[in-house]
Amino acid sequence: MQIYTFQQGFNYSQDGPGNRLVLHLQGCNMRCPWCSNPEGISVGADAKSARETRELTEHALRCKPMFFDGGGVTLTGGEPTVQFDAVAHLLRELQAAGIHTCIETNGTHPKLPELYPHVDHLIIDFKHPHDDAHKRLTGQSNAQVKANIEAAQGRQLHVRFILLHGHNTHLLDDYIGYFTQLDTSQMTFELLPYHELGRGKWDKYAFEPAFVPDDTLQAFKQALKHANLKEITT
Amino acid sequence: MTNEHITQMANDLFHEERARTRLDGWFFIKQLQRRCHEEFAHLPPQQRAAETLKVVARELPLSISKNAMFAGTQRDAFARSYALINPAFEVESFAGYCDPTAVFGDITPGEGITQEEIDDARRYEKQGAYAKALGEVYADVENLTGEVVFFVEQVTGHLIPDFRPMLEHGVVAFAEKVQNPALKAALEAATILAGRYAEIARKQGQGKLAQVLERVPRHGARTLREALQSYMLLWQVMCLEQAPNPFAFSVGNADRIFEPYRAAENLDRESAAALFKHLLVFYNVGDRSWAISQNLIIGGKDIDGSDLTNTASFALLDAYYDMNLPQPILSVKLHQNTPDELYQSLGRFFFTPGVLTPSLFNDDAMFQVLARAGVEEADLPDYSIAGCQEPLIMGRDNANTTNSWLNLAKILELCLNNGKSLITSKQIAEPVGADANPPEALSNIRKTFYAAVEKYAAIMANAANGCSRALSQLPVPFLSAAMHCDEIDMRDPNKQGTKYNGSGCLIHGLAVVADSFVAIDQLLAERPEDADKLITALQNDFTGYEDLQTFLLAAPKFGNHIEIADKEAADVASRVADIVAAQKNYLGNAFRPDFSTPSTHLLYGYWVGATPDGRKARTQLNYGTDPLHGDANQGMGLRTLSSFTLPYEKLTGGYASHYGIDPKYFADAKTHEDKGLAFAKRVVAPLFFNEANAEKVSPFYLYVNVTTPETLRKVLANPKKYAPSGVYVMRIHGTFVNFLDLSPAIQQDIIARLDLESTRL
Repeated sequence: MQIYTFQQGFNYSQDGPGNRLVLHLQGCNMRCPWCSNPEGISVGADAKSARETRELTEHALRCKPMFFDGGGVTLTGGEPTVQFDAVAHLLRELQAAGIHTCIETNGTHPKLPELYPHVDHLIIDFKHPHDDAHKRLTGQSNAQVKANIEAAQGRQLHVRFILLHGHNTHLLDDYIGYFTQLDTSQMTFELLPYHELGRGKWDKYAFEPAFVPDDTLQAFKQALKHANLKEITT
Repeated sequence: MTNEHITQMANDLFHEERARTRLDGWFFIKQLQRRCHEEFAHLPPQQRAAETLKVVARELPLSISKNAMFAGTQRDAFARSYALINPAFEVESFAGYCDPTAVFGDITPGEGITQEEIDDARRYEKQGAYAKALGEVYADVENLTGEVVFFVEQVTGHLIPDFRPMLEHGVVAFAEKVQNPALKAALEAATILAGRYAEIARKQGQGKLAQVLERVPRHGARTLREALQSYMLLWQVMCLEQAPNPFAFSVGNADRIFEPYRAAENLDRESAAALFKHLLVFYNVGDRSWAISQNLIIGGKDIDGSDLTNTASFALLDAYYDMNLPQPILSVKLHQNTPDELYQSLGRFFFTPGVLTPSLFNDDAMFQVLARAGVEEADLPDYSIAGCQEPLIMGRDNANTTNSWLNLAKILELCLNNGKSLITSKQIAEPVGADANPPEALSNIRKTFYAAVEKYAAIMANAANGCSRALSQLPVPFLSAAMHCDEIDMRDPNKQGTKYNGSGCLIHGLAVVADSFVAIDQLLAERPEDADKLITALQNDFTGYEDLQTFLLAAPKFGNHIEIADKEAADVASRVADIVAAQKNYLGNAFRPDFSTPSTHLLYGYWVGATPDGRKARTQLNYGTDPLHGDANQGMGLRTLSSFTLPYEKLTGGYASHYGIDPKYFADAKTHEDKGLAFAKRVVAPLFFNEANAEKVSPFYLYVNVTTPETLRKVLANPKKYAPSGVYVMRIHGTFVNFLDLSPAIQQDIIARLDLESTRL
């Protein structure tokens, strides 16, 4: 089965535990104007970026010397679930090959929970607690994101709050309120404040800077702590 | 005297040295040598050299600074010569290191020296048997060296003396055991110098220094101060014997040499570090620290695997960090059981902008490489680095490390272009019929290429041996004594004096050639109709053939963990290493393949036309075993995996590899110590000690620069702000240098080769 990638590389414990081969898959169903990988948004299939999942698994096997400290393969994007069937196939192959798997997703795919048994480390980005604002910012509803987070209760899940000053940082109580209703015993949380690493990749970058003031960041940290939500930095 | 005071003296001494804009001592020595050549004409050459050395020791003008803790300098052995730290240096004007009279162009009239004297000395040198013999060697091969198919040179310096017995027992006791009268006489030069320095010290009221000089190097050292003093004077004599410009003499395992003396007086780390600071200043010569590539090593393991890091290791690191001088080079030996404390102590070097960074050696792999090359087990811990990255056994190995330089990319050019240069259109080699049927010639390119490598390697080796034989006319009795070479001179061309001997060959263009083969295959497979356009495209430097160049550039490249490209690079490295190792040097020993390119990837690249990997004419070749900069863009993990494919067991002469690393990847570690540990975990361990690569010999060398192009551009734009001391140390191949002292071409090379896409984490 073919899968489309636009970038790959290793990183250490930023996208899953240990040293990992990170495969960026082509295509995204969101349109976040601050995206740091805009080259990965278009869904159009470029033959040059097509690879057989078997080929990627073999590649991953040859990369095994670098999977130290509990590392493995991370699928990210774009949005990996845009290629859902291929991703499911690849995750199964990797798992069968004894490779630790991780997926970083925006959480919008309705069949995402079907992947959970094949994912050793799950990362879901949480971009806004309110549906209307979520739609306005990303073009997608957050209802499915919440449903998928809820479906992950009781299993490992790393949630990333994408913090955009002036858009979602005033809603601290709503973040905390939502997650304290859930079984978060196996969940970890991370604050990802706005950055402009992708600015240079856009023909026209059309998002007002939304850098998060340090005191706001500290307030989020404190609130997570008080709510017994385990915050980590990767 | 407090440690702070001793440190202040070291700093003041360094600033005194950096204020020196004239280096005339070597010229004075040349004149003494000329006089002695006639005066001692009746003596055999080695004896004549020894007596000349004693005359130099007696008559050389000496002085001791008020800021000196120790007497001695290597200043008189060096000229203001080294091209790369000369701001006037241009890649285009590089003419090689070979002409022994070129140094006379590096001195200007003044301070009692007239232009007539300089010209006369140059004429005299030119007429000497040594210069004539070298001239004949070059005349025979100038057609091939002119555009650097290969290059050869005589190797001075570039050795690691073993002064340990002299430090322990003193020169007098040491000389008593020496049979050879020339060596005995040469050793006297050290005590002559000490005597003269002692007298100066006494006159200047430096009583303690005078006492030390009365003791050493004549007798064995008892304290660290005595050991350092003894060492410096022995070093001075060794350099004077080879003046001018014995580049890259190296100290070897410095912590092991000096630790017994520190321990004997139970000197604490801080006090030892204060004294070591003066040792470091000793290695800096003149306004640009001209005595380049002198290497000190710390750390490492013993034969049984036990760690040899000691208090002196850490005291030396403290001294290096506090002083941050452009010289001498620091190297660190690592192994599986290197203690965390050492990595923690290294963190400050890697993560402080503008501070020197040590190069790193993997003892576990190096022991395997050297054992396979015939080094006895007992000698393995004594391997150390001469100059940049060449592994030699301290005091036992005359390796002629930079004797020959082979340019694979130029050889490929000649194979593709029917023996003609793409740069000058000159017919350099015999036609190989490549233009008769381009597709067929391209499909046979490997066969043609390896046959040509065999041919040129043989011619090169013959010429290199000619250089070594020419150099044997200049015996070195003092150094011979420090190389455990008692009976004959270590440069004897007919009989081996040192325990180990070989000749080096620095091999250029590995990735360019391997990627070119892959690109040619791809062209023949995917666009066979364009095969006959390739040579014309290369001849036109791709002008009018941009589409073809784009196709070639898109072919798989070494360094991205693409099997076809990595295997090709491994194959080129392996086959070329075998060809080089099959060449015999002047004593019948093997040439040692050394895939390092100390800025010569720029200089040789300038003489290579466009290549089938898509590289443009006159641009640089790849550095050492690294991918061509810009060609590897998949991050450090995949680049490291690519590097595992190379046959390190065959790289007995060493190799060079560099990672430019963005410090942002270590922002999560807050202290220097934590960053050092993180660096060990993310960079060093995966490369050197990767269990999944244990069946092969692992990489054994790496140097890094932890910075970004933006930072370096800021430093260049505003040096007063970013380098207020005037010193901003960067690594460039095996040595480190003051970034601000470099020529613009070399500064830009450092920036370009940070190549951060190849090392993303």
